[in-house]
Amino acid sequence: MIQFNHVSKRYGATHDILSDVSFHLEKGEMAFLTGRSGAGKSTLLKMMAMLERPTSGQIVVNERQLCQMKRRHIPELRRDIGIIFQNYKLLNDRTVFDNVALPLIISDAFDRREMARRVRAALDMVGLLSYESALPMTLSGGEQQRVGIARAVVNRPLILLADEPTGNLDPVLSREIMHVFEQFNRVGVTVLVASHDVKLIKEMAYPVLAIDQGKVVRKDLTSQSGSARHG
Amino acid sequence: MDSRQKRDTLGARNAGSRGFLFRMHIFVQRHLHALFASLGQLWRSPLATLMTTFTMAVTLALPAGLLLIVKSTEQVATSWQGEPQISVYIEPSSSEVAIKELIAKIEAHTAVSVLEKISPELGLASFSKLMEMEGVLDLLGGNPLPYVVVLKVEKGFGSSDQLAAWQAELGAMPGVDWVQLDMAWLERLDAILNVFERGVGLIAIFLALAVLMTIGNTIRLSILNRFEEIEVMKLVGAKDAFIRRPFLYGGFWLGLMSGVIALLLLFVSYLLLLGPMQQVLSLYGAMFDLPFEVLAQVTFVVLSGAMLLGWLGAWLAVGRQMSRIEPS
Repeated sequence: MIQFNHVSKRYGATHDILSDVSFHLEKGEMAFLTGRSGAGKSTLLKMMAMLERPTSGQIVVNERQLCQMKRRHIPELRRDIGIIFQNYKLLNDRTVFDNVALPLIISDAFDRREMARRVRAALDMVGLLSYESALPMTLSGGEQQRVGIARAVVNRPLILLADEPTGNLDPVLSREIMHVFEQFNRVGVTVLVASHDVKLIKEMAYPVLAIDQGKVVRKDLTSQSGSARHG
Repeated sequence: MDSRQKRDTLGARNAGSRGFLFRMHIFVQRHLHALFASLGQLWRSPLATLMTTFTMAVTLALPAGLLLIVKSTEQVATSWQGEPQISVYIEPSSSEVAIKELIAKIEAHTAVSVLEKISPELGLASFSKLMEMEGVLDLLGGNPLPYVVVLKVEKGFGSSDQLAAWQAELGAMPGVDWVQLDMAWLERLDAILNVFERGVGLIAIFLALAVLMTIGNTIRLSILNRFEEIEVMKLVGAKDAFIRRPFLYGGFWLGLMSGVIALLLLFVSYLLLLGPMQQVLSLYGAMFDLPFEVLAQVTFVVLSGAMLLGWLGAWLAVGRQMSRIEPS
């Protein structure tokens, strides 16, 4: 589903953020991406959604060669991916409902009734159903993060990419959000979560892609608790 | 979350894809939404909208007003009471019977309103009187003047081309020596109107460019105001066509509103100028009247032109800006 082959990313003339990165994630797999701040976790996620282009190497996402992808095909790629941003990227002049409905509106494939049903289901999943008429700026950081999560999952993406989704949440809510990701993963969605919450990562015990000095090392922990996780 | 809600969120991804009619329904719904949402956007900033539409309206009203003047002048020219005059000079060798037959033939033409016969004797008498030269016949030894028929043309007979054609027809009649059409003033007016019409065309082109730039700038500012929204839309997979849609409708509305204001400005100007114009024209025996066809033509040109320019200006501005906004 996601494949990186010898991918490098350089900012400016000398600043290598990623160097010769290669890894792959199978369809329906869930994994964590870890590394210290500034290690390149966000850059790696952004490259999967064509928000950044690699300096060299090949990236394949959902059988699409991203390096050869034309600009006009980028929206199709992004519709297959639900992205949760560290800084939420919500529209502050629109209600929570309208923010979550955005991926459905742009897809031109849902009537109002179906859209409302899906949006409410997504909001319910993140525990914000009663906030649908609120403006994002009236919500706390954690609540805004959950609106972002609802928006990312409302279109039932094939891939979920989350950049520090629990950074603003308390441990209980963090576990609940991770549980939401697990639910999507169980129905076949490929999930990659960038986080530096070591405790949470150990608790969840999914494979870990660790970025260290621009390289990615895969640490497979699934054998330890995979059966327990999938119940 | 109950099982139904779970199915709504985690269910099959393509549950939204249906048949052609459903897709058409959604398409129309989305376009109508964009159409009225863009109107709402303009409504929420009334001062900026009013200033833009008024600037555009004045820019549109100027060539439209000039076009109206050209059309009205053409109308006035055809209704002018000082209608052209044709002088038919008959061959001096023609007999009296032949002259009578020729006059009868000319008189039968529907365009003739007044026919005046000037015999050589009458002509010489008038000439002598005019020049104060009594006894000129004695000096000349004979009357050299031919028999002349002066025709006044029926009001609104037609264009200068039609008159020229009739002149040629009269000239070809047997017994006619020469035909003089007194239409120099008409030709001059035609030439002036031609130049004026071209001038109006050129002014219209320049002002259309000004309208394009005004709309383009307004839409550009609107895009910059909604930079964040466009960025988020692109992040969730919106196509350029979807993002472009409300701005194109915004341009359409701006065009339509300025077209309507331009027509109102023209109407007010018309009411203000009608009285004095009637006064001036009545001195020349002419009537000022704007026929329905001219009004309909100008209304159509102003409204459709304004909407088209609005849409085009928005399209150019959005196309330029769209590629510059990329999410990060």
